[in-house]
Amino acid sequence: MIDKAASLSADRIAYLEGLVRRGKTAAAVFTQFTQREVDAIVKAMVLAGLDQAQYLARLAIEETKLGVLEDKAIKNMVATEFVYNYIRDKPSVGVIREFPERGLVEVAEPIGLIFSITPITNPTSTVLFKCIMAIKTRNAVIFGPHPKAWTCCREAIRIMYEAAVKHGAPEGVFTCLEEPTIPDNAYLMHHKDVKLIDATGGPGAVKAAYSSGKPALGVGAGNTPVYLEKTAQLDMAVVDIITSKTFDNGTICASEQTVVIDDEIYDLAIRKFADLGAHICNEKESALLGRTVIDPETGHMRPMAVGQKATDIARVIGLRVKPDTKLLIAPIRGVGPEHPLSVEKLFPALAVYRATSVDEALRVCMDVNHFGGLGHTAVIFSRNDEIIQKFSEVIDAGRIIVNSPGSIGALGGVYNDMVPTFSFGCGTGGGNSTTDNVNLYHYLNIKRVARRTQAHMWFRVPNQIYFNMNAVENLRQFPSQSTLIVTNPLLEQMGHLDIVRRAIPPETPVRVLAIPDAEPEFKVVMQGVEALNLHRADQIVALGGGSVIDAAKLMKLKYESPEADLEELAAPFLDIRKRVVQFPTVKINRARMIAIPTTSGTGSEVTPFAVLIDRERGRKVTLADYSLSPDVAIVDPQFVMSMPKNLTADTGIDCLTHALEAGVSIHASPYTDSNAMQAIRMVFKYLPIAYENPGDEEARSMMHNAACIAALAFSNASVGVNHALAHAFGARFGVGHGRANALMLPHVLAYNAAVPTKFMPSPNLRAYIAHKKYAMVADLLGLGGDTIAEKVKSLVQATEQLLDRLEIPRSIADMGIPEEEFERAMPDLAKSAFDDPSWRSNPRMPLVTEIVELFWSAYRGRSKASPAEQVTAKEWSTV
Amino acid sequence: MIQEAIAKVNSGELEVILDFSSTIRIDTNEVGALEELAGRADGKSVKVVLRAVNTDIYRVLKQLKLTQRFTFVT
Repeated sequence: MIDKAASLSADRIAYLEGLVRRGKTAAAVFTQFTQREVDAIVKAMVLAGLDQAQYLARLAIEETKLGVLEDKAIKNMVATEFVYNYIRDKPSVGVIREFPERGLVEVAEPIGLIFSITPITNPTSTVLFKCIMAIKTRNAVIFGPHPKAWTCCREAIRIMYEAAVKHGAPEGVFTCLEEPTIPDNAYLMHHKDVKLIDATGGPGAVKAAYSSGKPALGVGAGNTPVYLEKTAQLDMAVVDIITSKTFDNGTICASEQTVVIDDEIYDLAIRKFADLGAHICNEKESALLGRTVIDPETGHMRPMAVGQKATDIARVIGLRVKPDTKLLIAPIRGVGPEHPLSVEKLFPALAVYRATSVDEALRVCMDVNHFGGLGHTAVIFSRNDEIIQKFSEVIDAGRIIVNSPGSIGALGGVYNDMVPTFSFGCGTGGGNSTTDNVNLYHYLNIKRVARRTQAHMWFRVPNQIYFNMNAVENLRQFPSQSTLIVTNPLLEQMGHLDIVRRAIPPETPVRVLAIPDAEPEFKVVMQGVEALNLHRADQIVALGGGSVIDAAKLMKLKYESPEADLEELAAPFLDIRKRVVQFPTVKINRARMIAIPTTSGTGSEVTPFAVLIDRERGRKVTLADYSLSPDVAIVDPQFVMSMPKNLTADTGIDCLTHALEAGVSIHASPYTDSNAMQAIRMVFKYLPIAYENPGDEEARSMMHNAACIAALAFSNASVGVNHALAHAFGARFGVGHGRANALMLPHVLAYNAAVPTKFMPSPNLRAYIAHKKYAMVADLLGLGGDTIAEKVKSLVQATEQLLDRLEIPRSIADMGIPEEEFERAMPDLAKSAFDDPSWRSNPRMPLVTEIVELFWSAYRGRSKASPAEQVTAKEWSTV
Repeated sequence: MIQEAIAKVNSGELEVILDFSSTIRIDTNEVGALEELAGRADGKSVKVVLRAVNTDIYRVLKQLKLTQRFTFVT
């Protein structure tokens, strides 16, 4: 307990504990109430408050000697009627808001017991407001009124309490501290059963509330600057400022304090103020006012002036003014301690400043704002939207009141559509937790009920795919004014280029760019862009393997959108829909891209990916975007009939890996499954034939189609950890992609089929199903097995057998890589594989230690742990 | 009902059962009575069983840290 509370007697502590116990019980009982019951109680309280508005105003005036009776009555009515008008139809019990399209529901939870401090300046209105808010939100309140406003506050609390309990509210829902003291406040602020402190009062009380370590709503001090800009409607502005500054004798902390007036209208404005009852102080009078109403020691206003009439203040300090003077206006030449009247003055005295430019006016307003009023309120009168905008940007205030009175404007609901309140949040500038007009939502814990949503998925493929022998003939149907064929020298020698050229309509001007048969470098891409620009090409035909097609994709990108930064576009992302870097949509050129693959594996002819190699930095970057997908794919097996055996095997296994990984990916869908499963079936059937009988046209054709179909699956479902391992291993040891995939594949199948150490978060998956998917594949292939584990085992064995048949080395050791060298490379391999984005769609999240284990399994060859052995949970194999 | 239970505790019964099956809400007085009942039962080592307490009432008792002082049965 803090020091201040330590001075409390045992009796006083027992008394305070009793208040807490009552309030806590009431709050707990209140949780059972319905919206209908709460609203009925609130209405009864509002009517009681309205009925007693003048009575309470009179009590407040008599006790505090501050303010104006009529204005206090209006404040009491605003605190009841206007507040009620705002809250009457707002749900505050149970479900208060629903967002069905987002699967979100907000449920209101009462806070419990609130300790509320109320001020001397707006005593009864603040009590009425807080009582109504508390009942609307089913909370209980212990009030700690300002000692000099205790009687009127207690009476306001009594009126509210009786109305509430009469209409069913729990007994003890409001209590009021008898003879409140600072130690009482300290005790309650630190009490474990007080759940929220709502402090409307002086800076000391607000600071104590925030220092308590409890959730608190505190209201900072104000020092409202007003910019009276030359385009303002002057008559309205002058009346508004006088209305506001004299309202309840200036006791509302949002009232105007210093008016900064443009030079062009300064004299006229001052005359109008004077005409309407303001006394304009001369220099001597201003100095007198400054040294009498502002305490030179503290720099703050003296209590004797607060809430007093202008004439009374003038009389006390010896200033001669007319009897009907409403407001004292003192010109100032600056802001700060040496200009005492530039501070907050909660009485009808206003500082004015002549500004010779907009910049100067804004600077002075900022000075006032920072001189004790940060985060509170500011006012501008102007018809210049740009200046209003600038003012609202540079001034730190929770409320920027435009062309209306500050004090009544800030209360909300009268001059504007802000939320009605008697508690102004001042944000961090004022040391507060909110800039809002405090309202019922600040008296609630709002629970968000978030239902599982399913991300929208897609299946995006090129517009046209032509396949089967001589499909290249379809090139004839694409008119072009200028075509660039991108290929490599070997394909030119093999005569493939001639076949393509013959298929292009003879009238089409055709140029050829032969690039190295290797993953493309940036300079190669730019050679292509140069050629495209030179020939003003409107069609690109990419004839080659994945590298050539990838190069052509990037050439097209840079040709159409020269500003595209390939390095930046390769930035990593987790979800393509939420990626930071967007591919360009503005295109200065347009070219159709037709991809004709000459290998049966990468599927680049239909994928949205392109790999670029940065030899200087020794790394590859992958660009991914559906705008990279070719417009047309021509899957013509004549271009793969002469593929060498090892390339047939490696690219075929690459294709199988694509399909198997897409099949179990967290992004798999029925659309991708249908393609993945078909591709797997075709690979198991036709790859051995194509390998063993290269001239078998059907097998070649089917494998060419399988590669494309698998690519349709992984273009939309992505791949998995097998690719991450293969990328790292292949780059480190210079092993081709397909072969690297082959070395990892059986081990990854077993790994994904086992109970994961760590599941991959995915809203689209309702359960872990990788092992079931593998079992489905086994069924599709007719591999046998009764349980899921047996079927998975069959699939792994079938994969091993396929690899054997393709004469692919069955271990990394078999590749001739010494164990010591592999061990030395392991840290880099593991890091590289873990950095690879491919595994992010893997069904099982690989731990780095698991990546290392997988590498070692691949090094040693055939998995010693069969999937059936890895499956530890019985139900895993039987569900 | 609660007053009867208090009387039973006072009369020396070792277990007291209160049936809440027809109670849909409790007020502050009933909360006070339950607190008194719990206090007396604690003093005499009497087991107090609350039967069929609905979740709204259970929540009230939970917030007031009274649930550990009773045994709840459905």
